[in-house]
Amino acid sequence: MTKKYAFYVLLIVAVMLAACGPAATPAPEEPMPEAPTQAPPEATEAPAMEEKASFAFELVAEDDGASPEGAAAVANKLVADPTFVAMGGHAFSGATAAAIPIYEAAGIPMLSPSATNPDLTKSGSAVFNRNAFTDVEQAKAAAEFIFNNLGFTKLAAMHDGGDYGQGLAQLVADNFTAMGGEVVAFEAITPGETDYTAVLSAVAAKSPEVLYFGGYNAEGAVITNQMAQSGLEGVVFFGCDGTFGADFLEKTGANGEGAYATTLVPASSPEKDAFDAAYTERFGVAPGVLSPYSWNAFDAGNALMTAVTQVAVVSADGEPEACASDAFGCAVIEPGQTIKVGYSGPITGDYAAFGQDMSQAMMIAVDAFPPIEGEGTLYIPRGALVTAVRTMSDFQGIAGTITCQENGECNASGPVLYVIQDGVWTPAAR
Amino acid sequence: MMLEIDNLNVYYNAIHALKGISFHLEKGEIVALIGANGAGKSTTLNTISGILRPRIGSVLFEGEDLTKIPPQDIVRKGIIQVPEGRKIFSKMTVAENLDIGAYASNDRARIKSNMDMMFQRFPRLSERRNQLGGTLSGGEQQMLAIARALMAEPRLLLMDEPSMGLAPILVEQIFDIIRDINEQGTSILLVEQNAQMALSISDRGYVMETGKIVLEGPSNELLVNPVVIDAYLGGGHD
Amino acid sequence: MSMTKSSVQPIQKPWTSGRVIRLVLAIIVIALLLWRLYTVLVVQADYGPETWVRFSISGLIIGGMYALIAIGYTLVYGILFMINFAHGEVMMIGAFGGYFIFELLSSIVLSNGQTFNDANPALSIILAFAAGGTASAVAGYFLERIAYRPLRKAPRLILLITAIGASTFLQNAAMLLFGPQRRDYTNPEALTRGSGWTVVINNSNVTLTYTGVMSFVLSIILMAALYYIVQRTKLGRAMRAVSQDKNSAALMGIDVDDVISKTFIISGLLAGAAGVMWGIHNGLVNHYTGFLPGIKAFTAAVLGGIGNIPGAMVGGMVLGIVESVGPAALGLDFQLKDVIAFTILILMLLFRPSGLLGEALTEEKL
Repeated sequence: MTKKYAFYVLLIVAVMLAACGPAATPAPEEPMPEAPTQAPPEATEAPAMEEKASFAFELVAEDDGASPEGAAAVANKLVADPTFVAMGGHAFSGATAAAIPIYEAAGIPMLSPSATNPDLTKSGSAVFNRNAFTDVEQAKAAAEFIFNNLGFTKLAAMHDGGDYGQGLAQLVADNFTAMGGEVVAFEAITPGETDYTAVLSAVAAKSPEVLYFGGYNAEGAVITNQMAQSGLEGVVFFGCDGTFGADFLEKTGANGEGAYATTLVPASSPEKDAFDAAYTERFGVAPGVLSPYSWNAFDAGNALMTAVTQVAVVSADGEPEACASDAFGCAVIEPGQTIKVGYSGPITGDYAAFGQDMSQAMMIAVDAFPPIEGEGTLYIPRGALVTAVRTMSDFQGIAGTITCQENGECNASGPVLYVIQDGVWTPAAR
Repeated sequence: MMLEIDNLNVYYNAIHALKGISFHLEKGEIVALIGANGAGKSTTLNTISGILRPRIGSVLFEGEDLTKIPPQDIVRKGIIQVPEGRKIFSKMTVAENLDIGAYASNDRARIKSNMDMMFQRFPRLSERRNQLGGTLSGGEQQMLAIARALMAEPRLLLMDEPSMGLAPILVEQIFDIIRDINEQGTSILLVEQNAQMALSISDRGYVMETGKIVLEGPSNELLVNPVVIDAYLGGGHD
Repeated sequence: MSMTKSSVQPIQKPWTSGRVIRLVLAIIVIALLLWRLYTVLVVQADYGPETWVRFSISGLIIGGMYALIAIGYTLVYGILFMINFAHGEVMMIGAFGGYFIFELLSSIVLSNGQTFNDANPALSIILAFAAGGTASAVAGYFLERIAYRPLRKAPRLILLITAIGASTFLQNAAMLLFGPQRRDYTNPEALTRGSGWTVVINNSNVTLTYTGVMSFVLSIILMAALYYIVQRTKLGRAMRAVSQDKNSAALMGIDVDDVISKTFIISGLLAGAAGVMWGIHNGLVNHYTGFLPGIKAFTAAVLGGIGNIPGAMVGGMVLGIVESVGPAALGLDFQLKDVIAFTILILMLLFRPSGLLGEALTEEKL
């Protein structure tokens, strides 16, 4: 009997290993063989004349389960690592809010690609920044477009109950009412479900002309698909940056025709195409499929690493002056060590696709970023890095320009309105 | 020899319940196993049925050791137990209980004719065939338990306290049935606290005390044995 | 097992303080419900009949799926007295089984340009259900063999913890194998999601979707089939015997381990069918698909009386209806539908621990 069980166990382990091997999950601890920027191990053997060290960046992707408590745990773990310098997250607004104070105390700058809740930049944090546009701008743009361009006066607002979705839906409803429109229904759904016909029937009873949804593409697609059968034929679905992306197109098919979204996904450019190709080749799936934030995450990673290179000092004879005067001191990276840049989002659980997508996008950014070269040890003054991120200006990413304001709002491009026409997301004329 | 028990040692975790008992049963016999509560009588039956496993010792049925055979296959060899407390399936009908008794057989015609036989033999069960087992009286439940065992066409019937909790008149009736079954060719190993009744219908008897066999002999001799009279037939025991 | 307990009923229950509190609570709850119903139906009257019909349709369809999954909880509880918390994941595996069959069939293009899927909808659906049912049955079988059987004699709490562990394991294994993204079921054209028969009620079109009707009808058929198996077949009798008394069942010549395995297989088949229905009707599946329905179905099983098969069926339907009609009927936020469902569960445990149709949950059983 025992042998039998041992066999089963082995079988399971074998299956698991087979599954882990080529899977698209991020494995940040593993060395990336295709990365051209690994710290060369021969540094110590090289002749003294050319004793140049190469300090590569490394992505540390952590799973916070999109929850505040998970985020706090991740933040505490990361700040304990002396070579950890910057955080390209967190992914979700609620989780981010919980993590900010921990990074604040440790002097770790954040640049979140996707946490869009307006309150996040109102607390006066010095470390929190985002290249996601805020929901205030997004909601305003959406409400204006619905009222002025589409000419609708009866709006139903729905959301998924999360910080992001609910905040957004509320802002849209407020803006819409202020403009003179009528919000006929305001309903919440339970995220993760696949049958919303009951709540949609309740909304249908109020006869709205347009349905605004604050939330993500999974639920947005389910709602779009179930509108007609619930009595909402001909009602326009208006989504947000959370519902934009190839996934929404694929999941809604013909039902998605005429649906709107606000987003910052850029038009095609050589840089974007190169990223798209690299991402698709490495992970077997196109960016934008797992989440709409792929490009933003790539930009956030690059922007943070650029800021690091600006402030980093390589010195062979002890701590430089910049460290002594820095409020948080320096991160000290010895030759052979890597500069750790973090990402945190839900890598398992219901929203796993979001976290995995953004960490994969960042992985591409990190692996392609040139290492810092120099003789001696690398010093990164933490306070200076916080300032460098906050004062970043005109950083050209693939998803837009990053110029940080004093409160940490760094998206300088604003939302773009898209509508699905003939099965393709098409920029909508204002 | 039909059944031969040799040096059987059974433990419940640390408790040594059977301490090396040995006995045998010839084809066609009724053998009584008597003794007080906790002497190990039910443990013996459950070990024969394969519900319990001995640490040491063997149970030979027609020369084959049963101690490694699973309970359901022991049933298929023709050893059927009527468990203590009857253990009928209370949420099944009388007819379903009888069906379950014939679980090992796939011969539907034979099951049907056996069931008709049981209903002839136990008219009370026939009247209540669609009633749930749990609604029967104690005596009816005992009849159902016996009938259920007979559905399997036993060659050796293990009966655990068939008289327990029954009125004296019903006890008489049950023992008549047991004798009747034996006369039709089924060997019976009978476990009883009611030593008087058990010894009066059996051919031979064994007396158990705290996991050991302390006395054995032809039943009519045990009935007059002073030790047995003193401990099991005298005052108090009905 | 409570064999004879039910026949012993106390004639007069003493007025303990607990009973008084429960009675007062019951009156408050009922008064509150009536007041909310009155407000919503008479005072506000927001919803016309067509909306109530839509609510009920949603509820019946999802209720049928809940019922199929709930039967698995109840069968396993009946036989092992354990809550198989990995059962939702068994359903998820079935949903993936159907998904891959549809993917395979829709990738076959016939000479007339149609996909196999669209050209042979009936056959494709049968194949999908066969694959989903088989995948779940196999998963259920190995779950019992690997995770539960070695613990047959362990305290029940250990089994429960193992079940929760197995649930997490299966969820994460599915994520690693199939990826985290939600996948879209490729239904045959004839079963396009959202399309269906239209009924006009109160000048408004109410859609009876093909997928919903198919799911509902099939779940009724499967429940009837299960009831037949349990009540009328030899295997069913053996299952009932094992659930009442394993030792006595073994004494009747029943291979108890075999019956337990078959119980997991049957539970898996039903859950797998529910999984495929889930995919066909709702469209999206991922590794997390089984989690919520699993918990809901467990609630349904307790609601109907755990261990009781008709109870699981009724519980599933009631839960489905309550979830879709409840928030509107009580004038609450729709996001509170789970709160309503679980409140009902708590009230049920408080006032009628045996469930709608079940027998008492004695301490012995827990």
